Amino acid sequence: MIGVVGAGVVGSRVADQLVSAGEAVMIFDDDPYRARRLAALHSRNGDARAADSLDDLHGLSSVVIAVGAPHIEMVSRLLEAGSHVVSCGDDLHDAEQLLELDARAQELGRTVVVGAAASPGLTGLLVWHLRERFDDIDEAHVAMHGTGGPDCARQHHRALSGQSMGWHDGEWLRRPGGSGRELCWFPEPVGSYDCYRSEMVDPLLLRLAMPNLQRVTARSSATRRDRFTSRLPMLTPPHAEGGMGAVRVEVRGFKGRARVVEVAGVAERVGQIAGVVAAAITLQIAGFEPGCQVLGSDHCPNNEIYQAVIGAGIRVHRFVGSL
Amino acid sequence: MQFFRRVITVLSIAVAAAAVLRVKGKTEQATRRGGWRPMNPPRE
Repeated sequence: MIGVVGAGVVGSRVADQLVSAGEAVMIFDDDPYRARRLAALHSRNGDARAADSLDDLHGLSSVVIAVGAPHIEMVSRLLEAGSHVVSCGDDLHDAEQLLELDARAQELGRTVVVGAAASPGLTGLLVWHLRERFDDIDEAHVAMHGTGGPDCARQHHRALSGQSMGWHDGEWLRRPGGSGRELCWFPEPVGSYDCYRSEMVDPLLLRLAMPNLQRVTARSSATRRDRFTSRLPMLTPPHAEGGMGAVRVEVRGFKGRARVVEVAGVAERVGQIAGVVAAAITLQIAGFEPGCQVLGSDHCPNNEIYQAVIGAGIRVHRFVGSL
Repeated sequence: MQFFRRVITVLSIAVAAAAVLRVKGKTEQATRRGGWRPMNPPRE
């Protein structure tokens, strides 16, 4: 049985994917009614139950955490209880703390997957996949449009007022969020959006996954109102679910002696991407090495996860033409 | 009283200037030739 923490936009997609794959799931949410409702929905097609507390998930083989940050406390508890843990978090400080659990996870022979969502998550898979087209890669640039559920929207708001991290020729560069405008093209129907630096986890995780990268940046789309109000509390409550979102990665490197640029992207609801990626990771958790892992690294079954994501209907596109 | 009025005036001007700097500029459509093509799954 697999545990799912969170019965929101991402958690419900994770449960949907796992039940479709024939797995039994136990769902926990701070709102017990929401957990019971989701479990009842899936109990028609498979084995889905609601948990009364997080303790009920102790001892399950794997647990997916699909709620807003911080995850560190929950992950520590579940790890000590003997579970593999898949974290869909996208908060930079939380991810840094999760990565510190590496030694303990190795001791226990368990895996903690950090950043198992769209960005981070799918971005690592896309960079890994594009790497096959190069002899050597040295740059990866991520851009993201849209949000999943309300927690994701709040994180996007916080990220625009935070400090972005970028890996540049051997050192971390910190720049204010909301700066560095760049027009990024996403697969249709999303199209082009202005994207800005923001406090995203991708550079940290991509750098860990592929230490040979010399430059890694991440940007997210934002409107003028987003940027202007980023340092204020959210003026309006976030939507229950964001609309169509998109993720794109631009990878640069060498093929022979030629400098080559490849761009790949996905246009889909961000919650759906995150749910599919998290579920695919959970189903392949036995293929990971113990410790804290990030997608795209050589310690992960990237190909199996990529195939599962494609099989679940996520369509990856490659940009053909001149930028 | 005059001091507070000055402070408020200065802050108002600073906020207005920051707002203009933050939202200024207009997005221009960059030239782009090409399009998105479906990507094949990786080899087994």
